Amino acid sequence: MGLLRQLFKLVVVASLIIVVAGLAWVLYGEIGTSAAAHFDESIDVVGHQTDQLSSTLSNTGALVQREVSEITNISELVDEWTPRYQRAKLAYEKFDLAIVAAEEQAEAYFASQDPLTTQYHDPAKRAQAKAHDESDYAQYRQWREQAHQVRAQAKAIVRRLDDMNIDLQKLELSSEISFNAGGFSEVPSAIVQLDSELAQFQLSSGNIRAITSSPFEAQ
Amino acid sequence: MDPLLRNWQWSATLTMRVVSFALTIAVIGAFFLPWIQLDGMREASTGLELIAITISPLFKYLYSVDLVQTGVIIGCPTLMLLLALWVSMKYAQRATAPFATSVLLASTVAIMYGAPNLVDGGQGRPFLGLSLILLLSAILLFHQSLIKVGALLQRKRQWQPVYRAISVITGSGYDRRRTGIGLPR
Repeated sequence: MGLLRQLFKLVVVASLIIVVAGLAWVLYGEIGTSAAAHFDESIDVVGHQTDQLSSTLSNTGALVQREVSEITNISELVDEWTPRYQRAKLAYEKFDLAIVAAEEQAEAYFASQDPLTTQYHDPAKRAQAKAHDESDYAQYRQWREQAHQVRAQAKAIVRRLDDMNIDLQKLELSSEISFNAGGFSEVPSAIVQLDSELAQFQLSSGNIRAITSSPFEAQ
Repeated sequence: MDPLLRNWQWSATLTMRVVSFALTIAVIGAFFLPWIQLDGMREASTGLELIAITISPLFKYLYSVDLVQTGVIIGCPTLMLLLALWVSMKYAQRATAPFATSVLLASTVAIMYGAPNLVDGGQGRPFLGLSLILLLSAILLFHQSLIKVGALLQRKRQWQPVYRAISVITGSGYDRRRTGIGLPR
């Protein structure tokens, strides 16, 4: 058994060495990743978050479009609404942060391109590289403008959702008071109002995908 | 005791001890397999990649979204790696580490369900590596509980056939000098 114990200890030490080597390899790969790869990755994250935001907002809209007519109790509606509203808020926050992260990566990418371009001895090559850099930057600027447009639209939608959330909370609160007084009939009419607002909202969330898809894919 | 039976018991105990040790090594090996897919990433990250995210530019984005959940995503794999090595070392010394295995299991569940805002789809769908760790740490915890039960029975000198069976099944063996079981009469 003593021999076995020694053998096991050797295996543990070998595992430790393999794990440390594996971790070092992963860290080396991360450090060695170029600014362009990081930029590309961050653009991917923005693209993904745009899709997530679009589907989340559509999902929130679809709830009211589809199910609101069947829900006659305001508490039921709030129960259905709240998780979707929170998901929409989170999706917007992630989308916003992804754009900020992508912009930082873009800065790092262009900052590392510029000194390289100026190092060319051949003026023709330097001019060509500079033109290429400027073309890249113009493409990025176009992407950034589109992203900011989408963010502004999304922000407007999320603000509307915030207002609707407050509407629902107030409605829920007032229904508790008016229930005894027989004022419960106000709830369906408010829901119908909500429904029409979300029709507008769905149209806007559809626009997000239309606006963002082409420049993101072009990258 | 019949020498043939004693040999069989010895072989079975040895085999089970080797198997249980191999399970602890498999936990370490699972760090090289995919664990979870972070939101927005193209591919699932391995356990080692999750630890290395700390130096990635993505780290800033992740902790901006949720600091606590980022701590779970990065802290748990680091802790789990240390615990997995600790458990292996303990098994090599023919000892148990039930506390470490419990924390290993809890950390696995924490990664699966503790960071819904950062994991793709928010459902914490585990990939092969994390599923494997979940399974192995549950088996190891059960294994160590059995060893504890066997040790308790041995100490109380009760239900000798049961703890002899447990000592074989778990690969832990039993103290022949103390109990007199298996010694030639």
